[in-house]
Amino acid sequence: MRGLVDLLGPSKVLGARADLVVYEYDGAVDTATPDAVVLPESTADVSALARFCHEHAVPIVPRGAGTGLSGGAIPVEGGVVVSFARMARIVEIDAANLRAIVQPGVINLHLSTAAAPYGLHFVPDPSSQKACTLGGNVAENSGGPHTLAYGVTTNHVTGLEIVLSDGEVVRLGGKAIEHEGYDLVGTFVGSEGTLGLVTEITVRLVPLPEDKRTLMAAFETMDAASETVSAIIAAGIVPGAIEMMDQLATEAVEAAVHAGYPLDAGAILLVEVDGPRDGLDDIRQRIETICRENGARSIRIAATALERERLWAGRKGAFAAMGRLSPDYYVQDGVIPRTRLPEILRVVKGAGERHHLRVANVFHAGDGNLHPLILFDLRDGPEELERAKAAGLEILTACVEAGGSLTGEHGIGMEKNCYMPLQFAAQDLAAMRRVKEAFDPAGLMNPGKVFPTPSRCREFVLAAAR
Amino acid sequence: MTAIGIRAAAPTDAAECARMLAEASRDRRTVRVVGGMTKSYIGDVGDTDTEVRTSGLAGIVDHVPADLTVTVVGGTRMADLADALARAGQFLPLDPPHADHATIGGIIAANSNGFWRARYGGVRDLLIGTRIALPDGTVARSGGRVVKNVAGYDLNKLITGSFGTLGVIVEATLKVLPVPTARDGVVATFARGPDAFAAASAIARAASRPEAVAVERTARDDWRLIATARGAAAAVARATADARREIKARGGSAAIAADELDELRELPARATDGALVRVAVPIAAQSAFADTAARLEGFATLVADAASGVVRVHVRGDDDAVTRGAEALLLAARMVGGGGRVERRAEHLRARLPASPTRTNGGLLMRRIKDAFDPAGILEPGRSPA
Amino acid sequence: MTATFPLPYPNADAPGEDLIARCVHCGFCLPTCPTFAVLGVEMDSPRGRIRLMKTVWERRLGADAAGFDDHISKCLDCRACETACPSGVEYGKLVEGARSQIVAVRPRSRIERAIRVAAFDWLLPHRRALGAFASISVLAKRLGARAVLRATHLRAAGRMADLLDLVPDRASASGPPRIVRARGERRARVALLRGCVMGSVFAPTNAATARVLARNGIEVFVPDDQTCCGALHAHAGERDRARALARRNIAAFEKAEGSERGRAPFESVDAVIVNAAGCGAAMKEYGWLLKDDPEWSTRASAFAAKVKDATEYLADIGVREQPRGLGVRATWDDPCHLLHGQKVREQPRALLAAIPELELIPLAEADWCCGSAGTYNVTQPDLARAVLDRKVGHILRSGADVVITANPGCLMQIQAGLRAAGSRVTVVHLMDLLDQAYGP
Repeated sequence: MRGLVDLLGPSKVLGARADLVVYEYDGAVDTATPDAVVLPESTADVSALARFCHEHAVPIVPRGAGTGLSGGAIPVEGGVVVSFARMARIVEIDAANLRAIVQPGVINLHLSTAAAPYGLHFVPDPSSQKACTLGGNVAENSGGPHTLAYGVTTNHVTGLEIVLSDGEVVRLGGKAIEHEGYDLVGTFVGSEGTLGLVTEITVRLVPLPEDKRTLMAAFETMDAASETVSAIIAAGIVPGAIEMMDQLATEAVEAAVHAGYPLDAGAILLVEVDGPRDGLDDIRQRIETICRENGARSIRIAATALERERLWAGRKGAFAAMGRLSPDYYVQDGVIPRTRLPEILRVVKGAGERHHLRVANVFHAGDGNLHPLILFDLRDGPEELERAKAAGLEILTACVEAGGSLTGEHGIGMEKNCYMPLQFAAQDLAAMRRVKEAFDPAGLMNPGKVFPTPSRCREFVLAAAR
Repeated sequence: MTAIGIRAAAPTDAAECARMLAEASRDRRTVRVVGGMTKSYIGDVGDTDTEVRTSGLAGIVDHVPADLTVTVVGGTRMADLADALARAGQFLPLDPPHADHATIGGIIAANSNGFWRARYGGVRDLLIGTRIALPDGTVARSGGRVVKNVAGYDLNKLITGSFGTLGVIVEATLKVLPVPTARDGVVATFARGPDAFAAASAIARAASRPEAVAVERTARDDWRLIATARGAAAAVARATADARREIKARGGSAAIAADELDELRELPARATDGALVRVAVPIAAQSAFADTAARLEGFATLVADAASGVVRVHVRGDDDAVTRGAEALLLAARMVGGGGRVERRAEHLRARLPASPTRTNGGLLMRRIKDAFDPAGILEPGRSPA
Repeated sequence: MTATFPLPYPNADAPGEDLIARCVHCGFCLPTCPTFAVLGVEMDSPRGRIRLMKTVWERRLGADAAGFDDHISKCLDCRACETACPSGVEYGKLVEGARSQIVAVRPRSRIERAIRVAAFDWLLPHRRALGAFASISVLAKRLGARAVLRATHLRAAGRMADLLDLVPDRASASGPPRIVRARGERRARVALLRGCVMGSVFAPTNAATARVLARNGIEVFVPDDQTCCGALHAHAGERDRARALARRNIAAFEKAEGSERGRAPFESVDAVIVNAAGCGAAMKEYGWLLKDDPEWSTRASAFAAKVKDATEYLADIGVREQPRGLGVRATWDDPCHLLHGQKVREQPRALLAAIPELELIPLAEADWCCGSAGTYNVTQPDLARAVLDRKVGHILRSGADVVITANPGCLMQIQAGLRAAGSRVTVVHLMDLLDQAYGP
């Protein structure tokens, strides 16, 4: 602690108890208290800090805005939390090359706002985009509703400046679309802070769509809405976004935004198509027809930009609005092939019922990326979280068995690292470990994440063996 | 094709492939991975002790049209996959060179993209899952069959463009799309390169989203621009109208495109003499780069994927001019923030002109990764980036 | 690290578990928090402060911890985080509760206690005292006291000089008469809060408010015996003092309104009009403030339900008389306690739109605090300055000649900031602007 202060100055290091307790959490449920928090202001600060930690064998845990949903920024093995709140400058908007260079602490939405005067935007739009940082997006390979047609973070990053755990600064890629040698930019994106610290990011900017059509359809059941999603995709339409919400989620969302979501529908689909104006209404018309054929009982088209914004504000604020329903929630992020939606949604429902927990659903139906929000109340005792996690595990197991994934955009973090063997065999994880060892041979970068750890995962392994 | 004394083997499943690699590792025998044998000109690879052919690793594992994904074995030919997808009204939105004979594994290993990247993304964007046979005898899986997946490291990216230096791609899952209903295109000529690139840039970022935007310069004195679109009829009509407008605004004369792109795409197949330099530069730098290229002694042809900034330049003539030209092009690419390699050169130039004459960023990390996956250094010697 | 602290969780006003539990720590509030923008540390964000409250509730941190006081005190209480919060966390209640806790348990220096007594018990509740203080301040300012104070190079003197910057150039006591009759047919009858600062420093704005309402067929009366609303006390954690003032006000308005026994309170008055956003926000929460007082809680809720901001009330009832044109380039800055505290956003904009020839320029970050925040510019001068500079920068870039707002603290703070930046842009209360537009 004193060494850090000597190295970086008192204004960049936090160590008081009241300081540390507020870096215990992120947007999810796990917590751990750091030994110190550092607020670097430059790449040089980050490099000096990493060298220091390397010398003293101290774990390093990078943190953006702390909106993550898998415990990625939680110092589960102690050490130094590195907050990038003060490295939040948009370095350059290079409209001619369709690129921007940003520091990791820049808020996702701020980049799109800054690019808007050039008719450009940054595509990945996680629901937390008003708050989450681009450094965090790179770490988690974040998605969002509009990544169905346009790709997730990894499809939009072309260059990185990273600091390795020994303090070395490495530049990878740049403004060109590809670079000689291994695609280390692509390898790094989504590595959840376990390979190094990001200090600068070069991203693609994409022209804003000329126009959009946003359609909200209400269905009696989740099944009917799921069938509609499959039918839309099968018709050869790839909308910008297809989102689904169940009744419970709609209740919280409507209370938050008053967008006019019908409260008595079993499921709501939010579908958006964008692109050139020509033909857009034809596509919207086709989607409308498919919705009606699959039993939509009401359909509303957003007539104004404000109405569209309202609908999206509701969808994007859905997790954050869960506080209206329950003091605690545990959100899952499993992915399934979209054709398996109805079946897995029944598993979700069953898991909630078996564990006597309410489950709200709000998710990226077009990608098959589920987000069951398992509601619980920690004030009723710590075993509530265990029950929620047990229900979550049932759902994830079903997702993986359906040929899917443990996580579509939230990351593995410390929340699901013990579950990794469900999806990956020992040799798969061994291959990933080779990458880890190449980047971080000392094993100091965000330990206890992504890979199963013997100490914390023992119980899970034992339970699985039984 | 196999030189005397080289052992060739064609494993029929992933485990067998991995076993062969493990044996080669143990015996320190170097290995070359061969798919459709279409890109053997790439890199500095010389003779190896062994060839692992993926011809026995072919076939479609799974195709669920409603999921818009397909899983194939690594040695499957692109053409065979295209036929199978077409029967379901779908296509793999990738137009690499040598598509007639190239295999999916080879296309991924070489990160072999075409002009459609403008619209659908490249290999790295379409690839969502792989199984890789590794020199330690295991088969490692990354990603999966779902379009969104962030569980574990994305080794799909690492393997894309790794030229077989880390492992053999034995299976791949890719995103596919329904075949669009309409297609059209325009071709235009310009007297000046900057005008062609300015028009290309405007078309590439138009809201109407073209499928491909290419610029070509031949030894003749004009610049040619080709822009194509596919999709719903109204959107295609709009895209070609937008393209014509941008062309006209910059003094070009537009006509209906035919199959010009097919010819441009196969430049690597034709450039058997001199040197073919392939660079990726920031898109706004293409015009100046192309201008530099066209002035070179020995300049023959330039083909740019103008929407992506990937430019190929063929230089020919006497060896000194070719070598100087190639080096000048790579230097020029670096100066504008890009990079590149000598993709192909005449056999006798191999000694004089290395494939990757410049150092790349992150070289140390690449070496560590290579050592971690292939500690004995058996795979594709001479194609490793580090 | 799980040591518990022996201190009892201090008082009934302390932030309750239910209020805390609403926060799901999603982080949506962080980018809207002015202190987080300046300091970049989680402790000085709404989510961090709620976490601190939770940690105190769990007894993992003492309510008397210096860090708790520091970070809770640094909050502007602008409540922008409430607008941003999808879960509807009532942050204002939380932070004011936390402050009351700190007041209860944290020892304060004798000087600080003396200042609190002077300001909260003597100055604010007494209109004449405040008026005299304002007059003296204005005089001091005109006599060049600021230069003298700054020349001493003492920090305290410098602070006083900064405060004098805030004081308007003229003090006036010409408020409205007791009753202002409606012009034309009477549409409504309302009571007006005079307010402490409004009643002394900004008395003309009160008169203007009454005239504007009267123009629109609304009879305005100004109850006697009313006093300071107590908002500043509540913000500072002085909830007992705030309650005492609230009771006095409720009683005064009940009496003036002529409520009879047996009748529901406030039946004959259509609204209690407040033209200071901070006061309005506090008075709308009188019910909450007095919730634990069985004798007063119902009366307080009934009173609170009648409280309306002047802009809110006028726009909702509708402008009857068309104002004349005002050829100015103006921009609107939302007072935090109007926008975030009272959720009033559209009404002032509608009133501005009703003024012909007024060119309304959107202000970037109009929904951000100016740094006035009650007594914040007194207690946290450096942070207040940083927040103010951001606001002034946006105003200067907007190109407006006039800034319109609706709260005395904001008026003084922004005007001082603009003056310090060498700008001639003026800051005007929306009611004064409307009054000007109507003409004599």
